Amino acid sequence: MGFLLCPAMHTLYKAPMLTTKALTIARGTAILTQDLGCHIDAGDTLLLTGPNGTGKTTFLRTIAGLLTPTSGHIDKTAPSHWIAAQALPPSLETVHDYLAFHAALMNVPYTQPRDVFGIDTVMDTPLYRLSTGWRQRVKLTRLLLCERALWLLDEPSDGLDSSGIAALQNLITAHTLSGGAVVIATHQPHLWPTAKTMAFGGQP
Amino acid sequence: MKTIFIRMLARLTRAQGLHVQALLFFALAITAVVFAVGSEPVLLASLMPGIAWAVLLLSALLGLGDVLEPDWADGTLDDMLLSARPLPALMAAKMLAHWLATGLPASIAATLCVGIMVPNTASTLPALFAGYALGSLCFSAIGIMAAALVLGSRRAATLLAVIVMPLCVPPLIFGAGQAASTQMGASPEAALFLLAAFSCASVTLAPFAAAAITRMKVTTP
Repeated sequence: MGFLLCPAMHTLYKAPMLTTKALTIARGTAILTQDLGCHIDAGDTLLLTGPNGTGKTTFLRTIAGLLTPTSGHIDKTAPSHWIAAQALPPSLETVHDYLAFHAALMNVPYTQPRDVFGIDTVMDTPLYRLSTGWRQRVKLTRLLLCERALWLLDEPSDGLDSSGIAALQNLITAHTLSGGAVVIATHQPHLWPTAKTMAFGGQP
Repeated sequence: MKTIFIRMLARLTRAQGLHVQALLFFALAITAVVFAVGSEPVLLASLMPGIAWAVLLLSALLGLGDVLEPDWADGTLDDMLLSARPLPALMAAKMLAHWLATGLPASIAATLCVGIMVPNTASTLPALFAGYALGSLCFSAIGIMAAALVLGSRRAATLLAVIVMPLCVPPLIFGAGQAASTQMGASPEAALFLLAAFSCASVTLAPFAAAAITRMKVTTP
């Protein structure tokens, strides 16, 4: 415990956020992902890369707590945000109503989130009037509804234009610099060149 | 919780027009029955309360495919599972939203039908409406469990009917008993109380069952 008393060492100490050990997820007899181990500290960005159907989403959903692993264990020390890959349906509800609903699900009072993705001008627009990229921006804005240290993002750059991607990159950098951590399943690893990578898919 | 409930209700009514569907379906089904059995007033007057019960049950099936399935498809169900709110409470909100969107309008329509077609019933209509409303509440409670069971399966509509119909027989029998005793001039209280007891049980237990089933459905790889 001596390092806690030493200021210089203290700044170097990074809190562990997520550790998985020997994680195997099977559907019946079909093994979806096998023996996955990873470790993430505060400030880390971890990319999950690999071909389609190799278990990136399955792994992310398991970390989020949406799937029960067949064996192995997950040690998650921080609450997480889970943003699935499914696009928002073009429904009648407005952007404001969508975000207020998700704030209510998280049980936090709704305040208009910081306008990272430029959606302030469309707050009262129904979702069906927005394009795919704009709906993606709205979905990502859920990250700003409340502070959570660990972000689990499945294909967050889907449908975003270059300014949207820049906003996403800045947001993720700011989050990790302030002590958060991010796990991203993506087919565009070049967007996060300094991130750690976990490759999926020995065999399909 | 209010925001959540209003959103669920809006999704069923404003987006999918379920309340209009329920009313239209009720009107069309009753009309079809009237054409099929003939417009003999005495016959219709004796049949109408029972027919209204059967059509009420069928109209409760209407929106069940839209209660959980769209949330499952677009990932909202995941967010509900990870929500800071208890899942049974969210399921209870779903159940009430379904009842408000289909059961309540259909109950009102059923009461109106009986009031119009059966002579001298004005005094029994409140009890009759209470019966229809309680019965449709049971149907929605059983329905939300069934909707959770058929999540993600093809031919969900057929499965829903097969699961819901047998479970809905008890409230249907109590309700029909109430309607019959009203017609014979007897007190409808006994049947109404049985119906109320059944709806108390189903409304309190169904959200927990639906939550457990949904959790199992989602978390099984």
